[in-house]
Amino acid sequence: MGNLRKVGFHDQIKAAGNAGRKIVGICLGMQLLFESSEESPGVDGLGLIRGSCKKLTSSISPRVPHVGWNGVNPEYPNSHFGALYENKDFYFAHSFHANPIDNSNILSVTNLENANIVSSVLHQNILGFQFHPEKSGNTGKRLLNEVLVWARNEN
Amino acid sequence: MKIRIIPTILTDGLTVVKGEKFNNWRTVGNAVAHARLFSQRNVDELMFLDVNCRSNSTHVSVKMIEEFSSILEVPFSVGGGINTLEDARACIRSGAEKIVIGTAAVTNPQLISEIADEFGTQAVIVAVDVGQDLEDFVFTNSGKVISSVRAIDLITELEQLGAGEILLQSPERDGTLTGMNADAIRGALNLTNLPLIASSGVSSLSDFYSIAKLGVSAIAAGAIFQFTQTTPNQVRDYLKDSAIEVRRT
Repeated sequence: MGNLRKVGFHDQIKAAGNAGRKIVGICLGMQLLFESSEESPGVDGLGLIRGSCKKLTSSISPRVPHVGWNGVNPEYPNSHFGALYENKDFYFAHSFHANPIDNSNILSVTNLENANIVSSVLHQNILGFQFHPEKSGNTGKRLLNEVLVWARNEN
Repeated sequence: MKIRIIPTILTDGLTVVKGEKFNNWRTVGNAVAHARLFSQRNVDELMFLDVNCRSNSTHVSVKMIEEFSSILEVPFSVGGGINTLEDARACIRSGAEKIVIGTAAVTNPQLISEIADEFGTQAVIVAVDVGQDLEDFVFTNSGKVISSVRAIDLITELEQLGAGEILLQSPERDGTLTGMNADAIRGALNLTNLPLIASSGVSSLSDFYSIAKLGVSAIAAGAIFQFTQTTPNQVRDYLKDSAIEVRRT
């Protein structure tokens, strides 16, 4: 988060998000959408989605960081991109996980053996993926194509 | 968590080389062509290790990483001669998800923390080159130097230092297709909560199975994919049929 401020993108991204522009955050990029993170104590996140990020612990995942291929389970029937998640795995690599305050922001969860984490979020024009669609082979490519459709068409 | 099968591509500049026991390198093809082929076959992940850099002071070629990055749609790591934060930056900025450090992790453990502070722990794989027993001192410099650090101590400290994964290698077995050091792998799993990538010596499908059963996060392999008919897809299918969870493509 500190780096984002240093390079000067923080205010611009926040302003664009608040103005209704579509924003997509991936991995750390999703975590930055929230208000704060244990990774950078005392530093404000973008605050485009309400909530905070916490460190993964062994009560959630037996091995930390969570690295590798894992499933993504839609939180609601017919939720965004849900059909693309079915019976597929995506690539994850992270040590922190997001906790939205509003459960309706949760698009999907992923099971880390001891507990679920939030693996994608949507709040109006703000979309986030904890996993890496861009590193998830053909499965990820299909998802990114749908994200483009979302970015162009929906209000 | 689904077990990952990671082909290791040993390079010497732009050619793929194959060795035995970290020695006797010979050229077996073009690195980019190998990478493309694995990628087309839905490989889980790739690891590129520059063996030339291990014994020289230069780090892995940035140009080569950019080429891999442009053709790969799955994660990949690079290693070989990464000795400074600046080396790591160059690799990650060129498109590598993760970097592998070996010798420097023993001689300058602080480097692990520096890289993790800047890029996150998930960006740092530490290669631990073990002997027969975890009580033995680890090797550095491509298996040529015996350090004064015991594997058991290094593995225990890595999580605290900021490593994201451990690559457990056995120089004595690497490239020999003679089976993996299951005792060392089991021991290492008990010493750390970091994800473990087991490497060196895997020789058959049933070998993959028995090591997967130990609870490793990934198995890296070179020789079996270079010199036998076995493919990563075959390994994945075999493990799936044996009730081990693998990635659904």
